[in-house]
Amino acid sequence: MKGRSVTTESGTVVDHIPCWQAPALLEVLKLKELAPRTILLLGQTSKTLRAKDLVVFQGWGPTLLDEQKIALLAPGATINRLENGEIVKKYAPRLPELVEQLVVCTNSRCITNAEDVPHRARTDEKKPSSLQCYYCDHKFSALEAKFL
Amino acid sequence: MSALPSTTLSVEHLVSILDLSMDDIDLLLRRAQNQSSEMTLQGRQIALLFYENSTRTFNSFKTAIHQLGGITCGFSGVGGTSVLKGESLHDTVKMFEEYADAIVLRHPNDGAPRWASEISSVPVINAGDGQNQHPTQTLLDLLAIKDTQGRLSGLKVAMVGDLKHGRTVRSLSHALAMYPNNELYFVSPPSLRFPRHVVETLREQEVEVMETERLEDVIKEVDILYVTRIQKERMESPGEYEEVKGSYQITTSNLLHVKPHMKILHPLPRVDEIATEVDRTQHAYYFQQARGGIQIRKALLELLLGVPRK
Repeated sequence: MKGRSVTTESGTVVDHIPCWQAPALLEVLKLKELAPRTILLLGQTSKTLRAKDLVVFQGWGPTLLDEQKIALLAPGATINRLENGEIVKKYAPRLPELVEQLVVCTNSRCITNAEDVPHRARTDEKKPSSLQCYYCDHKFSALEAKFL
Repeated sequence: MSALPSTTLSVEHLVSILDLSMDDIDLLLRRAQNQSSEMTLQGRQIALLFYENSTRTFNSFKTAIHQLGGITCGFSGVGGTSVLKGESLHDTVKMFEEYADAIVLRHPNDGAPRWASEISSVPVINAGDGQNQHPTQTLLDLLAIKDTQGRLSGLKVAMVGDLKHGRTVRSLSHALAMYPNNELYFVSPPSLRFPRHVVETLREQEVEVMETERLEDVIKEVDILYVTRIQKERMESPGEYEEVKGSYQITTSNLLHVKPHMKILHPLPRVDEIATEVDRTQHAYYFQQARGGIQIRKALLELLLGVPRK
């Protein structure tokens, strides 16, 4: 059955995603081209959350930017890296103080939306989905932002 | 033993009032209050890049530079410039840094001066960016407050009018939040209140903040009444302006029971929010406030360019 069951392959399990947030996360991870085999479990019971989502990706591991996307859109999520069906690494994705070329500032008057200027935003350790544009200081939520 | 006051700024550019420390502000105000007639900018050229028209800010920078013996280049309004041909801010800044010792930038897009400061090899001064910041206006506001009240802490300050679109009130609130025991009263129609995140940030800094629609709730209490114009040009529709125009008009009858030392400030231009009869009262200080714009901009240029006085 090797190759048929995702849990026996190498890949990644993103666990403890806030309930029904996984579809938005999948959209932002932009995996359509790679199209890894994926299992999406929505509204699962959880010991720590009232309900959670869980996504299993076969043969795919997140880049640093993907980890930042997970940290912003799914605060509290954990990443489990699998090799031959075994969890070899389990960790919570972390955000740097400044995220670069990841999200577009939601302020339509911002210079980053008018000219060819890099997209940079400050993160907030206390509010994981909150961002502040490095250029115009506009505060916005990653949940309402467009990802690059 | 107290530390000696600093003689240099901690920043290379002035983009946001939040970039300055209290020591920086103290140094700038002291320098502005102690003007000299030295030609400290002799042989220096300053680029004034004003993508939006401006009367006071443009001319006070120009006057400040000329009084210090410097010369200016640049534009006020983009008519007749390469901007209309599609030249980017990046290229305009890179070109003018070759001509000038410093760049003074006013731009309609929020954050443009921060971007300019990243790419420029000469100091950049924000002369107003969109609805974001106007730090030199804030410095002259602080100078007016210091001159009239003798301090920048323990004050009750009301800001009245268009708080949603006004960059001057936003910058001034952040500046006053640096000093202890200031209480801020925000007086505006509901549709022109400060963006929520501005108020939240101030409260996180433990500043006493009160929002109200009624000027009469606060006018007797305050030391400073900072009045702003309703910014018609930044409204999303003509109907939005019609709903709020003339919301507040300060007349002499409003001033009957205010504190004797209370001063009215305004970033100007005014439309109808302060009746001209108020100009003749002891409370009017907006024209003297504007004069401070030249003093503070001279101090800022000297300190950012590191030119010594004898």
